[in-house]
Amino acid sequence: MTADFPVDAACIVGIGHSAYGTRGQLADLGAARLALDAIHEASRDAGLDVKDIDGFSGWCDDETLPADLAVSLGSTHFRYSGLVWGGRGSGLPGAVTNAYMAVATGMADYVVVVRSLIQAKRLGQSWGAGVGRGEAIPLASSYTVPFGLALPAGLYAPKARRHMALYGTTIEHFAEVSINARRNAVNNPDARFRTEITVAEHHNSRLIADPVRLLDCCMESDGAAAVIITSPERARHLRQAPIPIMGVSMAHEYKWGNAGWGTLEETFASTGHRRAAEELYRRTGTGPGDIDVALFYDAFTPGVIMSLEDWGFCPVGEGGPFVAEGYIRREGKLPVNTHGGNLAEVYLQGITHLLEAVRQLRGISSNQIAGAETALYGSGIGAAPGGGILLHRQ
Amino acid sequence: MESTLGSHNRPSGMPPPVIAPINEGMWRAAGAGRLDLQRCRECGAHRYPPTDGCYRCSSLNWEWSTVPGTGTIYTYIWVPDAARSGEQDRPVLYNVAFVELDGTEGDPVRMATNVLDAWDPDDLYVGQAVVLACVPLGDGLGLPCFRRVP
Repeated sequence: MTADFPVDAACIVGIGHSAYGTRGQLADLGAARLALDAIHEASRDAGLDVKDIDGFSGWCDDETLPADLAVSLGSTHFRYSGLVWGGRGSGLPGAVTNAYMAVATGMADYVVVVRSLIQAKRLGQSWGAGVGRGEAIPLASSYTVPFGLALPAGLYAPKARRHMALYGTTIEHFAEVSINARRNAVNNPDARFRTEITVAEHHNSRLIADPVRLLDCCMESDGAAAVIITSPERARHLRQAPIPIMGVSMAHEYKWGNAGWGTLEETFASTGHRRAAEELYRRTGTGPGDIDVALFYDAFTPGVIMSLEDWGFCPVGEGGPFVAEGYIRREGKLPVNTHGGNLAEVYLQGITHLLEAVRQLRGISSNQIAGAETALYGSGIGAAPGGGILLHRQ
Repeated sequence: MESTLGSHNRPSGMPPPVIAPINEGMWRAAGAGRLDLQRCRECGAHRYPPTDGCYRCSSLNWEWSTVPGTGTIYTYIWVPDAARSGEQDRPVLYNVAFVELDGTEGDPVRMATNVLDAWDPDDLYVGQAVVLACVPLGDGLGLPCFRRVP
């Protein structure tokens, strides 16, 4: 453990979420109301008066505004807010980093990390970051959209193909990631897709961007989720056993940019998180062998296979065989996305993975891993900065 | 040119690029059948997509530089084209290929593009040789696309 990073300087004391809906289903409620529902539930979970929340941390250009949330919560001491600059859906580790720093430095006492999403714009059909079909494209999309690289799946599929060409990864491997998510969702009452799928159903699902099929893709959904972060001292007076945040990282690879074609050869067929992994493990004095449960951002199945490699659970190129062995199933040596993830539970850009990490460490997951003491979150393929979060049980 | 039976496999319904000082030279070169890339005036590294600064030496000074227009397919995808597929059982697919370009300095330069004469998944593979085949955009501008080298 290095002396320069203060481990366990903040902990998660409350988790909550709103109702979940299909795309647009909750639009009438509005993103702010969903966020408030999630924050109220997280506060009840923590045994905290919502008026005491004095900090707000978000990412992915969240449309709610902390000033409005603070008024509706009756926050008496609004004194911190931060939004991760860039990173889009990869930004959750940055949002937790901001909350961690705010709490550790005394900038705020109780910071809520919240994500509220109403998919009015159909992210799955967007031409570029936040740009709907038919809208004017920004300058930065001039090198993708005119050539038809105009779907989020288009960001992943070229990396998936390259991974297949370099390492012999197959669509059977991708199918296993989806099968695992569905299988875990069966036991999760909050999940949307609670029926198991077969390899054949995966292969026969509609082509989206070959080699990516429909059952390789996450859903589009509405909802909000929140976690409340405070100092270890304050946590002692709250309702739940605190889950310490052992460490965070928000590094990305050199020349990664927005995960396009310009990344370096050695990191192209990856999620771009090998440096983030190295930093998180170094800061916390841990390694892949210390992780009991992994929660990986699974917008598309190939990214999970690359995450396994980037976070050191297998050598680069062996993520496919790793999943083929059943290792990511809840009976395997590294249970992954025990809640069903973006593929099967709900798509809220990573925060529901963090909720599941907390449930695992509290021992209350619907797919509880016996004796789970550490849980890792890793963001997926996307714009920099992404990163990782390591939680553990005290 | 854009029809199912046309000679070019290009996605339908896609908007043209936004023309700006940082990219106009390349669309203009493609209108004349050339492939021009940004090249750093300080260290000579080529880069794409266009950026204000050099990833290698941080210089903000750059110029357009003509490259041979040959390359190899680094990776590719096939996407169903709903507008051209109509009621057919098998959707019409368009491709997006990342082509690694020949004759560049620095970290290999790749470009997202279409291989105009590839229609079927068997028509493309990683490592395949391709050559520039520009598609006119009007006003003397063009899109740098590619064709397979037999």
